[in-house]
Amino acid sequence: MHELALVESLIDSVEASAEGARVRKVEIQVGALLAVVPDTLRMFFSLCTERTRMEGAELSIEEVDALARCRRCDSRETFFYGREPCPCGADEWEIVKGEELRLIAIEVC
Amino acid sequence: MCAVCGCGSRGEKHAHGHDHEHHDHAHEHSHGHETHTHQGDHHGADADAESRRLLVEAQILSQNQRRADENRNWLRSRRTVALNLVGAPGSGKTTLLERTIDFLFPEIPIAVLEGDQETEMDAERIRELGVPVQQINTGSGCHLNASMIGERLESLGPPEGSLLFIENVGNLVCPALFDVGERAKVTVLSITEGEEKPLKYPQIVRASEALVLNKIDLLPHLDFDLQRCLENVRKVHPSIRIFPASTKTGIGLDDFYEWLRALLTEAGEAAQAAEVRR
Repeated sequence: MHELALVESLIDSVEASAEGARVRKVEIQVGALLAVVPDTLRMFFSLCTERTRMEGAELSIEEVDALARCRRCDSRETFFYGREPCPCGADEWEIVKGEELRLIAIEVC
Repeated sequence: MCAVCGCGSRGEKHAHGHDHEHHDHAHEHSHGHETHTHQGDHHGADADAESRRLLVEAQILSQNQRRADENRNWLRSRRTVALNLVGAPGSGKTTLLERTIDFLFPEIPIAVLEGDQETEMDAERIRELGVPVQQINTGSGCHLNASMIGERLESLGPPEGSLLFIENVGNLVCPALFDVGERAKVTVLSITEGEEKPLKYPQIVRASEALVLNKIDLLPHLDFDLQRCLENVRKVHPSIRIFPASTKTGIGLDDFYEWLRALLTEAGEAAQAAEVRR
């Protein structure tokens, strides 16, 4: 249910950036590691923007796959919690991608 | 209707907009809370002649982050160490507080903010021990956010040099995303939840600086692989501090108390250093 709080915060940021213009599209990035469900975001976005300057706007969600760097050999590997160690044998990962929660751009008219 | 402030009509100007910081430089902002808008020259492919694409590049939770930073500064100026206790319902967060208060208070001043969806029950348990406490009922909300804490800091008034415990809503998912201005998050995980929970709910473990592995007095009665659980925790967060303990018997909590004392010492030294600089 944290999706509702995320959408509320997102709407606030979009309104501040749109400065009164009608919003047609909102582009965001969501990292795969954050347990944020895109469909739930879209549902709340649609509900919360009813009868506002954002009504009917498209919420475009780029899901960012998780990527981690091996601290020993520096190779970049697809990441999920509990994954097997790096081919070099080390099991110490630094997460490089997958924790994004960003508003990228809006389209206004 | 706007879910944020409740205004309903089109074109209504919100009074709670952000300050916009306009940056001319080109580096990427991966941290907290800038909202900088470059206008005009970014057109989306499917946009008609009248629509414009504005590049915003902001954290979605920037508003919460700003408020959390304000809380943190307020707490720091009072040498108060705030800990955000997170964990599943029934993992033993309130019992951990009772034990800790019993052991450290009044030698160390302690204040508590209790988060639950409903009831004053937890606050009443803490109030009986004589420490200042306020209950925050989130209703349909599944986590505490920075404004909920900020609104109560002044009236709660944690004393100088105190520990402030913020007990979050029992939930292993949502509280991980929300900074409330704490010095550290502490996960309370009980062994009755199973050894795979750190892998199933990794984000909360990753967001925490310490983990109290609770109810170890039940080990003889359960098929619980302690070693495997510890491995799973470290897999998700290699440098996390783990305190295997029982909030019922008190076993294992001495190390947790020592850590709390060390955090207070650190906060005192940081405040002194800040004064010297001034």
